[in-house]
Amino acid sequence: MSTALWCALYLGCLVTVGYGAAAVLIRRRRSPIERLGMTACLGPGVAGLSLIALSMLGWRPNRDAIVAMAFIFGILGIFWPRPRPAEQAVPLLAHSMLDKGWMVLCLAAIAYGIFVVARDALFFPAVEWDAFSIWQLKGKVLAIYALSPRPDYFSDVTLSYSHLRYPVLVPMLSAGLHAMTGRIDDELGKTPSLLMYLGFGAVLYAVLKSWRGPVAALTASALFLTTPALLAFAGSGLAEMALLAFYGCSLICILRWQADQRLTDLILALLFTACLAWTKNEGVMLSALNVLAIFALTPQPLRPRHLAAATGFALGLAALYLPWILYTHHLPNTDENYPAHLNGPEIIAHLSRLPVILRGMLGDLVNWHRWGLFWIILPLVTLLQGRRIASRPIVTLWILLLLHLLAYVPPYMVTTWNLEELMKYSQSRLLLHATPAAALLIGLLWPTRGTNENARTCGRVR
Amino acid sequence: MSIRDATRYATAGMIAAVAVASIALAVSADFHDRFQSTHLRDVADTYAQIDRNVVSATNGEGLFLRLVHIPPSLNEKVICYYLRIVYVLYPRRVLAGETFVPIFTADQLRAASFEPDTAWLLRNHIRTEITFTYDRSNGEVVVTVGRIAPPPLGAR
Repeated sequence: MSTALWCALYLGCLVTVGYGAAAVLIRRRRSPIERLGMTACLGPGVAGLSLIALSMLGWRPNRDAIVAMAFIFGILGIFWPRPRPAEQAVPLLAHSMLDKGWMVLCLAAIAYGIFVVARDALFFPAVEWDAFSIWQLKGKVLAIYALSPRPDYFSDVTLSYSHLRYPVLVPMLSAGLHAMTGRIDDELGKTPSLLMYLGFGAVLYAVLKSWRGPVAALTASALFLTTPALLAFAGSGLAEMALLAFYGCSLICILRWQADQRLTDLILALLFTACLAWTKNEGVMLSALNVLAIFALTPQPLRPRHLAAATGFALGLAALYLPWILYTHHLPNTDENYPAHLNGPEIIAHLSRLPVILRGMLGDLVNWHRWGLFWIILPLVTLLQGRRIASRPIVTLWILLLLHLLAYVPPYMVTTWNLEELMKYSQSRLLLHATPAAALLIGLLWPTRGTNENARTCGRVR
Repeated sequence: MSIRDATRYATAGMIAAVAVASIALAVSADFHDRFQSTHLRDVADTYAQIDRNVVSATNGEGLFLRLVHIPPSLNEKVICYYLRIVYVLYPRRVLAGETFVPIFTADQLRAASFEPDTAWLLRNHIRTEITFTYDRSNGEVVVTVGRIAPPPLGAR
């Protein structure tokens, strides 16, 4: 069987795993597009964690294990009881010619995004240096060796530049593809990212459509899916797309938990947050923000049921991430080691860097070559919506977004690298991580016509 | 139409115009970088050439890396090429110095550099060396791969 067919089969296995996971965890009837999108995001997450677990038990990724995993989740998806019928749908407004024209334009832009990300993920080799020196290198390691017994890679200090302690969910997905195709392929190792680009795009559109209507949903989706920074990195072999997909989905689940306090939303948020932590070190920080959101931003946070749920969320996250903490505990600490430097005295000693950092971040946010006008639209819609922004979902997203952006300042202050060079190479990617929250905000705040309740009230979440 | 409605429509129109501009700028910027600029294609071709050269020259064994007169202005290229070679050849080793020296930058590559003896090469299963040389005529890094001569008979 040709490499392309094995690759397609692997992506099919990831989707099947997601199908089974979604059947168990999504207990309300959602739109087919949202369900499909969640499936495409859940699949890589659950499959990646499962392959990591197997690898820690001594089995490196192989075709039989991947197909068996897909078979099990597929059976689960087919036979798990279906969720109860949906609530009455909010009647949609008739669209004007202007609205229809605008939606066609958005769809055309999204089609361009899908084309270039697919081209990068399927046909272009990994040329981004972090892609081949970190993520795809780790993918090779995990394809060749199981995590147990620990491969020599993790103690080879000459490979310190690849950050020996970085979590391995994205490399494990690449390793799974190499195992499926039977060869280490520089082009195809990146294809799971395409699945998550499409998946999160679908989730973003479907969720915003149910909350604010199709115009707002398509607008926010088009703005998000066509930011040049995302198009540059989504299919390049980095871990950025996975982090965006998991973070965005976790935010949606957290907003739904805030609205209805349904346990299944919390469990789904927990799973996506765990995948986030297993994706990048920045994901660990975002996981902490999610824990904060569950504890502090849920209605009546001190109510015993909510407190118990939040505690369960935090403990569940710790339990899911603990294996990696234990695995990396004794690894050489030869890279930047930010946790050791993030303390009061060091931050105060580098206060002089603060103006440079803030200027750099603000400068990047208004760089149209990197973002279009994405980061300008967000404050614009917020200001123009006036007092309508005082809704729980919008306040939650703004708090998380601002905390997220502020959280990058201390590491920049204490970095041992040349600050200007580090910011030049990293800040676009770090700001990219904040785009799911920003896209949700743009969708929730987008002006809509009409008299239905959703249109009048920003951020009515279901 | 009331003033309030007019204001609302004007506001919506303005935001929509900004969104159109944003999407247009974003797509045109990406299109330029991807299809009009040759940078990405040049980088991909360079890496493809390096990949072919190193894979064909090595024979299941590791590489030793030498840097010859590379100026600091080419540090970024040097480290990119080094990282690429390590990735392509893994699990075979690419060593520029002792095995206990962490490498992050081209300056560290230079600092780690030394003249290995035969015993060290044999111990690390290395029979091929790769040399990065500075080409003054075009200011580029030239990558050459060659077999290390076997030790004379009777040598230890």
